[in-house]
Amino acid sequence: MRKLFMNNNYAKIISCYAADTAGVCSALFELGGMTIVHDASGCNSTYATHDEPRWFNAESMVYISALTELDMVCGNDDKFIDDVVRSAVTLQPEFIALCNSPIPLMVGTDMRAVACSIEAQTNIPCFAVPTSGMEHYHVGAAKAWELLAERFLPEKAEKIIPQSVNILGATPLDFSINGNVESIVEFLKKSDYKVLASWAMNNTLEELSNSVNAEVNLVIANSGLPLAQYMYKKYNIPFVCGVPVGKSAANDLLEELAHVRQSKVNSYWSACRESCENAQCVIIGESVYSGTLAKALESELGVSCRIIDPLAGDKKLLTCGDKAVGQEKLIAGEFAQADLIVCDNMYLPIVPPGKKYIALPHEAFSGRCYHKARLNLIDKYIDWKSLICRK
Amino acid sequence: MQKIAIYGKGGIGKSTVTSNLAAALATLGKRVIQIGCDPKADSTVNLLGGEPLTPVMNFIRDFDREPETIGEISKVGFGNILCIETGGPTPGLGCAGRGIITTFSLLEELELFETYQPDFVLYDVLGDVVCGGFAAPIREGYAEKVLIVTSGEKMALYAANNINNAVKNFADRNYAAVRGIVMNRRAVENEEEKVRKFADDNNLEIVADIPRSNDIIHYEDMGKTVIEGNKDLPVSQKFLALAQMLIDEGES
Repeated sequence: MRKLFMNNNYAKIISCYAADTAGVCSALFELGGMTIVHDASGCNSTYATHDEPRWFNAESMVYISALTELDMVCGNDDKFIDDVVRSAVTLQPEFIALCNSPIPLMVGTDMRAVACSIEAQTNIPCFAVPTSGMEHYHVGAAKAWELLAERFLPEKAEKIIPQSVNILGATPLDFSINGNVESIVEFLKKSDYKVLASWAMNNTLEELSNSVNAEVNLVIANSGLPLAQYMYKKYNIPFVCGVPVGKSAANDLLEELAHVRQSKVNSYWSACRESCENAQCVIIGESVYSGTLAKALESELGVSCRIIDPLAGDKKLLTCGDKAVGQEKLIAGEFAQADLIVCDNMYLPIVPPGKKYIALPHEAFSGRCYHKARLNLIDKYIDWKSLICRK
Repeated sequence: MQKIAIYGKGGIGKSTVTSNLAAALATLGKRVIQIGCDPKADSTVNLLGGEPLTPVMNFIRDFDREPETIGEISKVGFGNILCIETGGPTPGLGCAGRGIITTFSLLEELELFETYQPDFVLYDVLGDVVCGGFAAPIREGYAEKVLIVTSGEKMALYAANNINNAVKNFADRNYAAVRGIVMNRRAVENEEEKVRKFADDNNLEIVADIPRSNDIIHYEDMGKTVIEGNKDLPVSQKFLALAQMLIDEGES
């Protein structure tokens, strides 16, 4: 089949990352709220069947509005509002989150006004997450948590709890449901930290409100960074960006947490690395995890690393030599220069033949395709050499 | 900061009223931004000596990128009024209403109000509230007040009624409210009576009565408002009175 030549953003071979709407649904999944994507039915299956591993094993109130062409053309906002109100009165969720998709976005549906109307009719907190369906998942998750924090966190901390920490940025899109997040909690607990809340896996909405009493925030993914910045501004809780991957990096991260608790100066620790254009190893993926992985590989495998961020994440999470690249052709070019490539399995078709690689599946990119192959590398001695394959 | 949207039937004189009001506010010492929300992009031309500026949508189309500074899509006109036009898509293609929303989002990203710190923002909006895009200027966070421009002509009053009903329908959305009517006279028989009846029927106030004046046409031919041309003319005094009323309202 002939393919259209459109522009450099066109991905001919590789997959694409989950959208911002999926990020919102994933971020709010466990918090007892009702999340509605205002979109035609069908788009929800991408979230349900690819992006959300909890879909078949856990209950959550994630819905699609089943928008029709006529509703959109006629401006039937009332129909949408009535549907949500009727469902919410029956289900009594803790909150209602509305997400925009490309169709209502293009015709200019005022979702903030729709949310106001729903809240007035139900007395249930309702907010519109300004998604477009065209951004990456972490953008949606970040916006959802920020809005939730604005609505539900107390105005002030009650009392700062010594040696306490929140985990920010936990969704299965980045950490799957194979025990990664639980391992991070365990790692912190055994290091004498009290984990107040994990945004937002394995916690209720009520438990999240305790977050304001933490001494420090640990940001484990880009999605958690805007919330960390908000909590720093509002509650003066400093943050550290990093994931306790491997043993040496995990220990270093502990030292950084202790240091930041004292100094109160925020730390983009995962980006505090030496990276260079001609590094032996290229790691592609979410930049907080990839940055920490780079630290682990440098100290435990002895290879120089640089990272490629295909998600247009926060630039502070990259260091000199790292690159933000989302175009397939350019990513393939970066792979061609490396000796070792660390990537999701769905990047393998553009890894040049003969190259060494480590496949680390990432839910946000390959969905559930490699679910069983996902690794939990948190606070573990890892035989990195055994993970290396050759294409 | 007061944000006011000016609506009315196409061709009724919205741009004339808006730019004269802007000029009057500036003459009274206020810092003003005027945003034309019409694909024709001619709202601000008489504040700019007849020299049009590059509308936002045209900029995006011509340069295939979003503007990075306010300076790229604005011009400073008479009385230091900052002039911006949303413009529209390629005629016959795209979506003009969506263009307004896109422009507003861009202006927000560029922190227009925080940077320029205006006392007044005037939105000059095309015709009727035909779709979501043309209602954007009256959404929460934008204009708080609406002025409807009408003459005594039947179709102008018909459009004014539609606009008033549309705004009333948004009452539960925290949108703008109609502040009043600007009667822009067209020498229609029993004009005042007709407009006053419409106003009374809808509990609206006529906040300005602009006489039909050749002076407006005279100065527009020179690319000016009558305020710039001669602020002592009777018609100029009408705009200055409206401006003073709005200033007083804001201060009270």
